[in-house]
Amino acid sequence: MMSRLSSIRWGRSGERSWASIVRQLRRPPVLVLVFMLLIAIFGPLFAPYDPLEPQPMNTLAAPSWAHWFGTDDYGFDIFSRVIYAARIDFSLALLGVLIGGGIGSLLGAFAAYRGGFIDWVLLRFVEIVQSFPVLLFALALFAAIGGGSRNMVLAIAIVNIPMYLRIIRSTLLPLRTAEFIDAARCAGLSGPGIVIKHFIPNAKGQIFSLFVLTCAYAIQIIAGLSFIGLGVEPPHPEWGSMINSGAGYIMLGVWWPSIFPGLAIVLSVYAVNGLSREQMTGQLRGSI
Amino acid sequence: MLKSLLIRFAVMAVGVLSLLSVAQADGHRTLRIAVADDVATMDPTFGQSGATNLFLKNTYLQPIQYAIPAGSYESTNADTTDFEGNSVASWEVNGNNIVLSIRQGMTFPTTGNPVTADDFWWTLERALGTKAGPAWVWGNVGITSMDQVKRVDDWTIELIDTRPSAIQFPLMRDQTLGLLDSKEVSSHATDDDPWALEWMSRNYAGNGAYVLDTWEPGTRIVLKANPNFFADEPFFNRIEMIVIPESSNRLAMLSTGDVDIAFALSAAELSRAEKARGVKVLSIPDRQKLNVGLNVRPGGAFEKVKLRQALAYAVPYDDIVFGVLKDRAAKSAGPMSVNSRFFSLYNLADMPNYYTDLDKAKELLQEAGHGDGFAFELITAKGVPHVEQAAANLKSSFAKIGVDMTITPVSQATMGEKNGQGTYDAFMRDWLTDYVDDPYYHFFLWWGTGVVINWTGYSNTEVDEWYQSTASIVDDSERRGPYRNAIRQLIKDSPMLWLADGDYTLAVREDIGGITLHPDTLLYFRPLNRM
Repeated sequence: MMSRLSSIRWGRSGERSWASIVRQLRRPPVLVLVFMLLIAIFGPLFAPYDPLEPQPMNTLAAPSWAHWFGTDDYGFDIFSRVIYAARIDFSLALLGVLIGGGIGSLLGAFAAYRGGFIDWVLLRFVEIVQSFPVLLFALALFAAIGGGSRNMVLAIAIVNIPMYLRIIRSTLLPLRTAEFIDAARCAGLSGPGIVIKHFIPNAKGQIFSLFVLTCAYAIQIIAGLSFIGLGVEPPHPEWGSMINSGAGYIMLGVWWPSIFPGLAIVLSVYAVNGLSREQMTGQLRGSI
Repeated sequence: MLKSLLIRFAVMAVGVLSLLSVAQADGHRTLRIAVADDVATMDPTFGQSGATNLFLKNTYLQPIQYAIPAGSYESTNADTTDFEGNSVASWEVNGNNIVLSIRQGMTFPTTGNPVTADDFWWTLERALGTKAGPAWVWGNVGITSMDQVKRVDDWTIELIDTRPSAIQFPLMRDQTLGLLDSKEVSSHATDDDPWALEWMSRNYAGNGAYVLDTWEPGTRIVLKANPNFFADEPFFNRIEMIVIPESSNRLAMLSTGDVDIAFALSAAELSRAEKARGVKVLSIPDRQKLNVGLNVRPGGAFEKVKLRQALAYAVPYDDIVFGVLKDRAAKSAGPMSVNSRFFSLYNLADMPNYYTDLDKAKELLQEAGHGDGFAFELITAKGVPHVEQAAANLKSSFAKIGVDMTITPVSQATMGEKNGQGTYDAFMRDWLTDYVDDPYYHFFLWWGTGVVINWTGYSNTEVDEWYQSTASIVDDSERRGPYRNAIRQLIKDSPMLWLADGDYTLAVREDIGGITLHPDTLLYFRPLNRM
């Protein structure tokens, strides 16, 4: 039973050759995502200016050879800040989703395994949290716990827990009555042991798809909250806050402080969303 | 037939042209102003925000005012040594008593009630009764009880046993002291609300140079010239204050000519405004200050003087003055603005001062026991571009001496709360200005131990003695010595980083003139005109 389920979810093992990697990279979302991740990791090596060193005598300078993306109203080099912001946005999103996804998946698997009152309580919790729009809920959390990068990660984690809990629970619910689970129980494996050793591995595909999808949401939430002045401490570079600080100048014909960080968000969300969609489509095909 | 048609056409054309010229003339005498926020209250007692104070100053009649310069001019500074009557036509000082002659022949336009000494008496009684802003103002004039206010006759009030000081008369021009229609306001009083606070918050009861025409909350407020005003009719017979929260939209409306004046533009926007056709930017040296307040209380982050001095030497003054503020400011030289009348009168330019010297800053940091650097949090007013930009420049410069400054933008309410409670390391607020240009006013507000807005928690017994010794001295030359001592000590102790003394800036259409800069920076509408 276990091997059958595994083959449904992970039926493409053994394809990890260089040719496969090259084939993957030909897909636009993967290519863009790899590009953005490389920027996040190695970007600071190529950034021509310190992103926290303002040049107050050179504010709102148009794009030029000296400043490829121009400068903003602080005199910061926008190109350098867009690069540095990639690291901040991706790391906050990844960290928040890893924490939230991890806790949510474990709780979902536990609810699926135990059922009964615990399952009922966890589901009601999920329904309550999910009755609020995600951004509004994140805003309320910020109002309660305050702004800052650490709390941004916390907020991302908290809004992700219900999403993972509900989906992983429904994915794993059929396993509760599976024979191999009974066998594991008879062999003396404890409840948490069964959840970690048998339930979670059977939801890997779902967790990965969700992880990619929720990363895209997380980037949007971070940008949205920073746009309205919450989140990353100023003057650290962050795409949303960069768009906000430049928004007032668009009507004056100064488009560059907002457009370039905006493009960075569009590319990131396109890449992560695209990957998630392809992964889900692949799973769907696999399960049919 | 043809002749008849031509005559009809000619008559119609003349009619249309006449209507158009009347409309144009009306537009010519209408002033449109883009403001950032709405008027919060019609009650002079509770004015707080800029737009509200602007409204109160122009629609209510304060007892006196700084003399408005005569003649034609684009802009000028009000003469803060010369006063003229407003609701009070004249006054006479007899020792500690002041006899006020209420201006005769005035009425309140919304009710037609005549203005008498009863209105002045009741307005003052209400001010003391509400214990709000004007009670504080009258208290510093020396009036704390209605026993000190005597109604001599229908047109005369005597203030008894007042406290003569250099700020006594300047305080009586405060926008919170506007005269109220006592009959009208008191008719709305109830047992629960004896001063009709609720009614006054939404209803107008004054007789300033302009009176309320319509108020569409959140959208616009329209004023019309007071037909019964005691002085000459102003050039503009209609003022429209249009609420435009976004500064870039205010600038766009000014550029297209939809408004004549745009308030509260950022330094970068002012630079853009200068390049717009038909727009001019006035930049008048003023006393408003951009400061960083340090928490110097025992146990506070900046208890050590040398630590404060180290930061004062690490401030990138030129970057802030010439870069962030686009040269519309001057480097500060201490607590009194370089544009104060007293800066030259007391020769404060010869005081010791701070300048950017990172080596010296590092030495002082070492002496303060923080050679390895230290970290602190700066709270800033949220959404004020030049404050955020100045903070970013400070952060960058402080990092060079090993000081890690975290910037936390907060709302005005949070800023006020933290300032009041002293629960912060450092704060930055922009364009703080004394509504009266006087060192006594400055010290008894900011630097006396435990005084009203001594947010830094600074306390020095010598400074207290120096400024308090001048409390009843009116003569400027007699006060020179104590204030030079107090200012020197304050600069040495550096409870604030005095960054810049900003200009009063205003973006207007190029035909607007008659702008007078008062110490409270509230624009006076009456002298405005089209040049």
